[in-house]
Parts: sequence; C-alpha cells; structure tokens
Amino acid sequence: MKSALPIKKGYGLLWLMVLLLVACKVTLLSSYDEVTDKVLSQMQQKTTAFFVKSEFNPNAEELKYKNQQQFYIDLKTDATTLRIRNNAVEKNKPMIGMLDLLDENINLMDSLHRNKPNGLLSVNDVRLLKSAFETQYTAMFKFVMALKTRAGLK
Amino acid sequence: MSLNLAALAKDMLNATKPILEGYWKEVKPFVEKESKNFAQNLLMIEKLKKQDKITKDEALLHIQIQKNSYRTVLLAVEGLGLIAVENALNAAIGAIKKAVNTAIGWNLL
Repeated sequence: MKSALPIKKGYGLLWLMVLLLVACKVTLLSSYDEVTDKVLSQMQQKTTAFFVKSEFNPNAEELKYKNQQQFYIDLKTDATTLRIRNNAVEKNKPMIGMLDLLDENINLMDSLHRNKPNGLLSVNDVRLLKSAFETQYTAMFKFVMALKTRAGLK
Repeated sequence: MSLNLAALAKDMLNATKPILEGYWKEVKPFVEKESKNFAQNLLMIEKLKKQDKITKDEALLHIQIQKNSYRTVLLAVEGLGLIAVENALNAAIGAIKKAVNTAIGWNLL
C-alpha cells in the first residue's frame, strides 16, 4: 500500500507537465477536420471516376455535357459545403485558398465542357484536366495528412 | 520558338526556391515533380495549338486550370511550412521552458 504513493505523485507531476505543455503550445494552423477529409475524398473519387470513364469510352453518349450536369452540380455542392465549413475556422488560410482554387477549376471545367460543339471533351482535354485535378487533390491530401499526423491521428 | 521543358521547370524551381528557403529540402521533390508536370502540360497545349486541335478560348481555360492547380501545390507547401515552423517554435519553447520557468519562479512557458 505504501509503495503506491510515490507512483501516484509521479503521475500527478507528469500530468501537470503535460497540461503545461499543452497550454504553451504554439498553433499557427487550424486542427485536422475529419469532415473536410471525407468530403474531399468523395470529390476526388467522383472526379477520378469521370476521367476513367472518359478515357475508357471517350465518345459515350453518357459523357455528353447534357448528361453530366448532375456530376457538376454534385461537385459544386461539395466544394461550396467545404468552403463554408472551412471559412468558419480560424487559422485556416491555406485550406481556404486551396478550396477556392478547386471550386474555380470545377467551374472552368464545366465551362469548357458546356461549350464543346458535340458536348464531349476530347481525349486531350481529358488528359490535361486529369493531370491538373490529380495534382490539385494530391496537394490538398498532403496538407490534410500532415494535419492528421500533427493531431496524432496517424 | 518552341518551349523547353527542362528550362521551364528550372526557371520555376529557381523562382520558388528563395520563397521556400526555410523548408526547401523537405518540399523539393514535391515541388520539382509538380513544376515539371505543369511545364509538360504547357508544352501539350502548345502542341495542340500547332496541330489546330485547340481554340484560343479553350487554351485560355486550360492555362487557367493548370495555373490554379500549380497554385494549389504552392499553398499546400505554405501549409506544410507553417506546420514545420510550428514544430520548430514548440521545440524551441520546450528547450528553454525549464530554464525560463526556474529563473522567473513562475511557470510561464
């Protein structure tokens, strides 16, 4: 029974040190947000699926703009949802900037697709768009993963 | 005159290096890869124009998309840099914490 006392005291000191460390920690960025991570993953999957279909069968009727409007509506809804959510968070400038650029690129791709005379993106359009969006999502996931690691979640 | 991929990628790296000096070593492979990718896509747009396979309006849209994509890379690097700075600051505070608190007599840090 007597031997338990120094151990408890030791834990108490350890807890005190942890609390002090937490209290003095410098934070320059917002913390990891699981919802942003999940919605971003869903957006990336939808975009990748569209590019894979376009590569597999570039002239498919299904891929004409008139049949892909729901795809753009879904992506724009996701992007707006994420922007509103992230705008409400302090110290979140890099993520807000990246989401603005993602939103802009979705609108630019929509515009390119909408103005195609035959309603279809060309093989070269798809190649350029796929490369741009892959780069964009990769950069965003790198940052999200770093926030996740920083939070001790990975 | 045709665009030169190696020269484009080198110019982009030289322009970003001074800005990213503090954490250049960590981000170099990522920025290098994406700079090359960006330059490659510009070359493709040039090639499509020469082959009359792209209109001016389409080229402008594609260029803006590529620029936004590259800007996203730089914003991610900025964010990763802030995390690195944050870690460095916390390590620095951790290193002097005991001495400062002992000297002042209060647990300030």
